[in-house]
Amino acid sequence: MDAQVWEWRVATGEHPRQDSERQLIERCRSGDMEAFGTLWEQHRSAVFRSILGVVGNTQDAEDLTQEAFLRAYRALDSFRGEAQLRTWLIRIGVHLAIDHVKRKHAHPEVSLDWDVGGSHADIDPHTAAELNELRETVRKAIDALPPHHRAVIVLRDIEGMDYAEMAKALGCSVGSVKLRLFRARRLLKQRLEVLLGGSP
Amino acid sequence: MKRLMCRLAEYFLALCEDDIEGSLPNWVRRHLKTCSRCQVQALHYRRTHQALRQYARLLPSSPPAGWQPLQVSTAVKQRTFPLQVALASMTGVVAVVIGLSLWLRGTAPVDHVGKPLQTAPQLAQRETQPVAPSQIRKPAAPASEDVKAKPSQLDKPAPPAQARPEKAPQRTPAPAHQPPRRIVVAAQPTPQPVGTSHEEAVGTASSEPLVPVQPVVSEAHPVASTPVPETYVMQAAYPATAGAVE
Repeated sequence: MDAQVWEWRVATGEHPRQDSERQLIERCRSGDMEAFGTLWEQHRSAVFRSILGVVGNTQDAEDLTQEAFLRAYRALDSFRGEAQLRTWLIRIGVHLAIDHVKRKHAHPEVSLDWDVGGSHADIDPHTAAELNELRETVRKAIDALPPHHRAVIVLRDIEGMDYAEMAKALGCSVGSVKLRLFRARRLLKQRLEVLLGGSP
Repeated sequence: MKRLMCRLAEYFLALCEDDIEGSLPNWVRRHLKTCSRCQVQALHYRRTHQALRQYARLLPSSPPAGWQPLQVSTAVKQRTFPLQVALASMTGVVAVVIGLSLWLRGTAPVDHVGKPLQTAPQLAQRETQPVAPSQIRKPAAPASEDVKAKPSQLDKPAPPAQARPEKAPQRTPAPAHQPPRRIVVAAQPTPQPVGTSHEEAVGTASSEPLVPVQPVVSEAHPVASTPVPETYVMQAAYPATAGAVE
């Protein structure tokens, strides 16, 4: 990067990462698939985790992540840059996941197909079994929530978004986000009390 | 009142995450010290947050290794774009062909479908062609005195004031639902005069547009020597072509 441009960006307070992301978006709009691959590498984990938190199934999360990026690529011209690209991608993914859960509502399935022992090789088997049990319990409690409540739990407690980002991602106001999060956590607490016998 | 305070306090307990007691408003903290129910709620919310935090740590951070969905998406994108263009162009061509055929079919006359089209001048020429003599009805024989007295009048066209008011209502075809009328044709016992030849009769009638007359079953041409009946009763398909109407 040119030194003068860098100095100008520092002086104007422009974030260098945002600018590079903007350049990547422009290159994607002109059909540069290499730039889109860079965006994919940067944001695929966040999108995948958000979707996985809602659907609870690795295979479905993979398919929905792919679908989310494909939709994002097709709709990249409509991205105005008001929100961060990560928020925009997560929004697409979460909406896809919510629709997926609604479609499968008649046939609920709990697929806990990732293993704690496989991903954490340094954990002893006893601790891994406890973590797997906890994960199954929380997963069941999250699956019992309505899809929109699942989304706010995932965005806040798994992705760590603030309320403004969540409002942009979910397309609602900050007050609605807080109210939805309150209801989701209250339902989740009640569910965990039942599943864990009053001692979560 | 205390119940309402508990409900409001639960709202703040649910939204606070890391440091529940530290981030709560003062009135909620004071309420928590006095309300055992809200203390239990705070404990449950704290454990729920801890369980969610552990669950978030257990989630896989990224898709499994070796998963390359982006290449598939790119291939789909590159393949579908020319297909869409081809489909759009084919749809346009088919729409133009269908529209042209419908337009041609819609402008053609109904009775000429499948026949060679005729232009307007051809149709006009067809209507103005002279009718064959066999298709022209013979006019009612005039009175012999009038013919003999004024033969020059045969060459002149008949005055429209006399001929048209009588013949015009006869040319109008009867409606389809009306039954055919019985026509009485008066026989002419006297032979036709020489001057009233067929050509002259045609010439007399040529002043008016000739109407093709076809389905007259028979006509009265009695032989002069034979006794002539007073009337012939004829059944005509077109009553206007056969004489007087009862």
